[in-house]
Amino acid sequence: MSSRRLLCAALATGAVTVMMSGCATLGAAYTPDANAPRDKGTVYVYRPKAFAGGGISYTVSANGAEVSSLPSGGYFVYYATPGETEFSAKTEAKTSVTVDVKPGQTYYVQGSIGMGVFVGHPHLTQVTNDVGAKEIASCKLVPAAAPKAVAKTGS
Amino acid sequence: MSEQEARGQRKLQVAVWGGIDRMCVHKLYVYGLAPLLLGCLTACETQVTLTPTVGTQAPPTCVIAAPLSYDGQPAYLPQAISAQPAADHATVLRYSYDAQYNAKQQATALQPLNPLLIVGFPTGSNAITVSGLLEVLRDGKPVRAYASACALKRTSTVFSEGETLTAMRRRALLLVRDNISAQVCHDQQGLRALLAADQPSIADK
Repeated sequence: MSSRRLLCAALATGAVTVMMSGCATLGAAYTPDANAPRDKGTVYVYRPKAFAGGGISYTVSANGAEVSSLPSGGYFVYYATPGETEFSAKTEAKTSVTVDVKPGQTYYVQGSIGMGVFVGHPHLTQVTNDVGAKEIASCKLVPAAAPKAVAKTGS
Repeated sequence: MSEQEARGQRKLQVAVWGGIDRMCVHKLYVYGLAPLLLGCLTACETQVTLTPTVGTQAPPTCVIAAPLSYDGQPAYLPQAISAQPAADHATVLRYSYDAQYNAKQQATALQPLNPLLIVGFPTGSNAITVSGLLEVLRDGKPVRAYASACALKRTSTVFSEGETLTAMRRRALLLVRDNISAQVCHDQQGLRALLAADQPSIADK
């Protein structure tokens, strides 16, 4: 009997650990970036806070190189070289959006999560600057995390 | 009618109506659920709308060499245009394109309550509209223009997200490119005349 209780406790602890691992600690509230290099475009990648799928965090890559995780309610800034930059993310499904970056310009890429069979599907899409500036206001900065993998070749 | 005959007739009626009921249920599955399933499956395909329609036959191929102002990817430039440096020409071509995304997701919190998800009911949609514009500029003012627009839309299900927006964008840009190429080739005499008026030495390939 006691071994069964021990097993239940271990499973419960494991489940809570797995669930809590999806909850990232976020940093400061959104402030417009003032240090953007002039020869690059500034891309804000953000994910509005939502209850559904809120425990799922996914990693966003730029041209195949992992940049940062994107939890619910988080955002990060990416300085992109002018030209086409492909932002992508993957769980059990892949999503990607290409932004045509011009130097000195600002762009917003909105992340969200949709329904999947075993885990939610990530969605990335470019939104207009009006929409992006409004929605990112309630997001918090994702603490700078070291990319998990070495940059791959661009797509 | 004797009591035995009446009983037999009643049995026959029950048997007939029972059979009809079974047939109705069977038909409901075939004529009701099958089209629904097919509808959900076909909804996963990307719908493409391209304007304008340039003839019904294959467009003529042509290459017009002209001074060009363009800062995009070479792959998206209409193949009917061969770029030359734009300096010292009063008449130049300018090509530009734009892509607008439109993604819609259904309320994720309510989706688990929808039993039709298991047959591929859409969970959201992605759309992109790409427009391309080739202008003939004389002293900075447009004197002729060739425009095209392409809209792609696809729905996603719990099983598949379908084409990514990156792939849809690329496909739309290539369709717009080819459409403008076809327009240019259909109007190549007029365009060549415009260019020749400015620079007689422009080589037509």
